[in-house]
Amino acid sequence: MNDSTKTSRQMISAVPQSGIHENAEVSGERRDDDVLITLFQSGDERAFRILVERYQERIRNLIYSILNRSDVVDDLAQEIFIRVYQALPKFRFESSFYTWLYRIAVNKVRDEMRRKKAKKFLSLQKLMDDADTELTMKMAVQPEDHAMDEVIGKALDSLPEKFRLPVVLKDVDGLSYEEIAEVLECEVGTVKSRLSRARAQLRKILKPMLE
Amino acid sequence: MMNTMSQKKLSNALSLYLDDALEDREKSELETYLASHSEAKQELEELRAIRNHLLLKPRLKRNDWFWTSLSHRLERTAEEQKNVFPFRRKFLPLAVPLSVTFAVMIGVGIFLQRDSLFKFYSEKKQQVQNVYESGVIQGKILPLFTNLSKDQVLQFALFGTLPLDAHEQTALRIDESKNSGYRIEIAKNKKGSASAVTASEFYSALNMTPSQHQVVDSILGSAKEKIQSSVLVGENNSLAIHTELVNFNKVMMSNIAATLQPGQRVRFKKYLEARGAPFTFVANVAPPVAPQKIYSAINNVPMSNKYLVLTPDTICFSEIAFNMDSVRRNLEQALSSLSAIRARTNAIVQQFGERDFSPPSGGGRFNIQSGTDYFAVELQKNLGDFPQMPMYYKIVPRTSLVNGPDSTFSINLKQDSVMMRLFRNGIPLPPNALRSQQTDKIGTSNNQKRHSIDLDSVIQEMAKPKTGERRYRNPYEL
Repeated sequence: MNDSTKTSRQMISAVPQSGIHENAEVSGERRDDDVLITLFQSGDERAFRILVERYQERIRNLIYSILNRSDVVDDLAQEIFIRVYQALPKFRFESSFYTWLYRIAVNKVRDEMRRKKAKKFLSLQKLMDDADTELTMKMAVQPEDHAMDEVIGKALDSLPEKFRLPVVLKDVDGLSYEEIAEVLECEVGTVKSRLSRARAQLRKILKPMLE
Repeated sequence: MMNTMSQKKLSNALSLYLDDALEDREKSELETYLASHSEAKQELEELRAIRNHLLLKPRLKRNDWFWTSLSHRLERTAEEQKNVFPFRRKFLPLAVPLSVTFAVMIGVGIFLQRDSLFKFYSEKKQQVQNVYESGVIQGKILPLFTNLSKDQVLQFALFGTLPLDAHEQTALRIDESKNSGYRIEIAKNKKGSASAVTASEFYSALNMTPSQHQVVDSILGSAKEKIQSSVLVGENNSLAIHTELVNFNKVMMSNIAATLQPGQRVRFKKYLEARGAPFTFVANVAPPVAPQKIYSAINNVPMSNKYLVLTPDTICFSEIAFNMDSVRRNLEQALSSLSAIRARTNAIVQQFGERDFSPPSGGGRFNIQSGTDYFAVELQKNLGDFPQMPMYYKIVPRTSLVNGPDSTFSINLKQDSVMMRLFRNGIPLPPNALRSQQTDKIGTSNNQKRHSIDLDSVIQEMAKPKTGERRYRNPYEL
């Protein structure tokens, strides 16, 4: 393995909530998920709380990464878990719980993006609201950095949905190509292609900052 | 080894290289390429920097209240999604088209049968309209008792009877049963059923003073006005009787008793008993009530507009509001045909008396009884809407004037029953709507002793001088 790859792997390991990795801990987590789901399906509602607490921060950060907004994160995350709660009795263990959960989350975020897009066209009021939203974000969002994070966030925000989602799932959440394909319900080749194009676009946008 | 690579191919390769997703051979070739192409290597570094920024992108602070909020929302959602349908929610997609189909079928059925349905509806509407139009008091309203004498009003106060014709052969009678309720009867006078009284004879019998005459005259005069507006005749052979009439004679008797001295009250009771009056009162030794109080009581009693309306087709309670001045004007115009009005009333009595009533279903608030020469309406005691008329003495039934057959055919009617009206118009009722019953009439011999009082003992008790106390003497008593 070359140095660059080593660095990226180390970085992934350094981010405690940043992804699902093929290691013993993650495999154990998956097994735990299955046990919890089985318990939930047999009527033990406490198992659902454990699942929520296990994944709530990943889902919250996924939403935040995709939308680059903190004001809607908790609301959307709750709606996602409500949908999970309603659908979990029918979960058939044909995929891992977290890819299934991510798929629900991504679909929900997509709905929100489309709704937001429609609203953008319809509402002139947004022009006036933007200033307030920006201020709210600055007050509510806790990123410790700053200018570069803000710029990267805006750059991601500028990407089309089909490019933004693979980048977030891969580079922020650390999912594999196969997992992303499963979440986005597309081919692995499509994921690779979109990821490549997304990164190229990001580079183009962020080039002035990188020099 | 490639010398040049398209930008698209390079971007793909660099992206895969970053993710460590190239085969060893591809990776080796790319690294060789990068060694000889500084722009490509620069691009790789920039991509790596971006990815590193994304990997290290700051996270949101943990929300420790997330589960609390979520559990509340889950509860609310569960409440909202409770099934309101009479079937399982999963059948909702099936139920909606079925309901729509059913509604469309009904709509089509109504559309196809619209002519016959419209005809049926119009006929029924017309029938009901006819019944309503013919079922209420119509035309000029006239008071039945137009020119009552003082003696006749006193007769009503003491015996509850009002003559309907000049020869006093037909009378309206008010009676009360302790248990069953009130009774209004229009019937031929039974010979000897009630003694005729005159005011002068009454005053004399009770040794009334001139001032007592004046008070009693006022009571009778006020009662005359009220009786005049209490029994009305319409042009369509209808009769409207104020429901409070059943109570009004007792109020008069109470006020007369309140005017009297204790000894006069005892005479009054004996007078009633001797003449077979249907009511009596509970005497006491209290002094007379001040005339002003009695005037106030008789003049300020509010009366409702509730009447029992009887026509050949309809019997119902109805609110009738009328201008008494207008009625009096009608009366002046109709005075010449007063006998015709009374003849009409007699016709009503005859119509009701001869009608073969069949009983509709359901219990009601009044019953109707009829015979060959009378008909009577019994009102349940729980009518409950009499104004609170002040009564200084409790007036109770003593005997009854009514001596009809031991049992009669009875009709139970619901108040203002449309079914009753339709029935009268010949529209058949469902078979199970008919029910007959036998009821004991008010005033049978069983009731004769129900409120008797030992008057002699009362008189003796009052006449007995008590120790340390002057015997009370009525200054007006002879």
